Amino acid sequence: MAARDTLLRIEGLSVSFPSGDGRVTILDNVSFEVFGNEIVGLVGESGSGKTMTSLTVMGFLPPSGRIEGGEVWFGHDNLLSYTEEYMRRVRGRQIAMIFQSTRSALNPLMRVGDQVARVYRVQRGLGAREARAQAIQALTRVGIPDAEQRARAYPHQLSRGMCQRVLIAMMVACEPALLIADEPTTGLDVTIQAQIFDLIKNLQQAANASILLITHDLGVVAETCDRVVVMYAGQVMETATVESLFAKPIHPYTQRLLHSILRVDKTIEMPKVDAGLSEEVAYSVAGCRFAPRCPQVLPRCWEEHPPREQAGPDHWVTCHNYN
Amino acid sequence: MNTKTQDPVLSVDELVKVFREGALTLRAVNGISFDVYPGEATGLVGESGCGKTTAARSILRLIEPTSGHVYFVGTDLTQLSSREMRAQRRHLQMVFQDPDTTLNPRFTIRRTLSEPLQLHKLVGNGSLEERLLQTMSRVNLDPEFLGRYPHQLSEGQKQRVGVARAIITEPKFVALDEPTSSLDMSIRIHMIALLQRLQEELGMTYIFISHDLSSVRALCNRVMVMYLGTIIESGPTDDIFDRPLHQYTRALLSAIPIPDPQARRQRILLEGEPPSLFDVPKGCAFHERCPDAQPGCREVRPILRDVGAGHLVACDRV
Repeated sequence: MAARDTLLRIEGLSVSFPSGDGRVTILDNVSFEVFGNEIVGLVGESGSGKTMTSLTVMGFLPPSGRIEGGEVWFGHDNLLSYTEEYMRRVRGRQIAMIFQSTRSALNPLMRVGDQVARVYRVQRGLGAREARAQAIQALTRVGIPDAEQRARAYPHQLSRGMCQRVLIAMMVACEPALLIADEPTTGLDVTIQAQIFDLIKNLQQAANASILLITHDLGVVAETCDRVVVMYAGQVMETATVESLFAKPIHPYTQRLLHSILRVDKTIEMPKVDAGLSEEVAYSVAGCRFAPRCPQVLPRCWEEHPPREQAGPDHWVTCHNYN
Repeated sequence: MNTKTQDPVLSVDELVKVFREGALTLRAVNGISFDVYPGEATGLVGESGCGKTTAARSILRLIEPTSGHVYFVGTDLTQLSSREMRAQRRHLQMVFQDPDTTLNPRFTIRRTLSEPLQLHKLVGNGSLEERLLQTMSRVNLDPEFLGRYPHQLSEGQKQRVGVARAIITEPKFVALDEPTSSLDMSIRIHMIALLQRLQEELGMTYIFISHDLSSVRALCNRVMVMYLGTIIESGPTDDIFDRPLHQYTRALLSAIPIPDPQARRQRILLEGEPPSLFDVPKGCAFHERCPDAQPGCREVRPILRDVGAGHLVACDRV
């Protein structure tokens, strides 16, 4: 493979939030890249920091959040050094985001066609008539039947799947280089989910864009993504190509994660031990935050942050057990 | 587990639930019949709006069925007075989809779990605490949580409380409505393992309603697939998953992503979305989206028929 362009590079990103009398580090030294023309899956359980990572990239960190260190490089720009006003120009045009809750991302009082047309007017400077024509074209391209008629509907008149298509049409209008999609099919039925991922993938390939796909569904990762970033409790545990990660998971957390998925294509062995009690996540551990649950824990795992080590072409792991 | 020599715990006969709204009629459940045998877990699967939750609620008479019969160990539940029905409830429990809306946020876990016991007068003053501790241990929750409120618990822990509330009366039959859907994929397996263990320990019979088909595969002996208010295919779990016959079942299964990059397979992408329940097509309800539809499918509604070894399918093309 030829040298690839790095589109997004997150380096040593740490973010803290107030908790009790002190602060808790929600993101701890997060580093990974998104190259041009690829789909990267950002996976982890609730509370692993995947959504917080994307919000930080977008400049949407809630006011109580504080960046403790690190950089977010988009092309040649460190996004963390920019003002809100500049970020407003980056958002939409260069980096766009699709959120989990589709309905609340659309304006309930505005016809969906007008919402898409507005993107063409604001982002691309088109006149009203031209923007409207483009909007209907975009709605057709994302697979909305009778787009001309549906454009006049309000969000509540459309199914959730259709609303998600409208949002994707708004993304298409922006032609961003990077799309961050945060669980874009939450609440959709599987047959609709399959249609949406099909659509997202086709659009990504047609536009040579990149996608950072946030999900907890490893099935979606296996079928949609080129590379994967595995997060746990605010730390990146492992990054690899999809093939390499599923064939040869190295981090004990990744191994456990891959062994705990139920499958539709075969009957799997059920775990003997019910891990119901150990759900609490150890944000306070100074070293590797998986240490309290790790079957291979070493004394230094509690104290020292493991280095990020290369375990193969395009395969990196953050674990003291490696080597 | 072949239990067919025994009588069914639950026998549903031509159950119908119609909702009316002004001049509109919505047939959410359109005449379903099936038996559930002791110790079995039967999966009821399908996409949103197919009627699976309405079916379960009608069976337990949380809503009143429009017509049809539900026999629970020989008793026709649909004929019981509300007082008689209440007496049956300790044997028929339900675990709900969303613990956030079905656990009272102002009740401690202790109060939530004590209520069914007091309601059904199942414990004297002395044995309440003992029963609470036993149930907490059964669902693998720290007894310390009895004093907590729902918001102090994680999603997985709250769902365990939902399970604890259902099993504390030691019911014969439990309807589980999407108990894994609000959970992260990595903890679903533990919820399924828990439900399996409880089923064995307490000898319960389950109906498991879910669109999460991998959970269904792990837990259930039999599966029924619903589409627009009717059962379109049913059979032993492995038969349905490995040899689906109905085109809808095939498409549904093929849409589920498999967590293995080597397992690339043919996906059957369905066109469009399910039609509205207000406007169910004539003939086979699926014919508009079926890749294999013939002119006859538009006219006649296919009947669910046995194609061998307890595998039933409602498609005239099979």
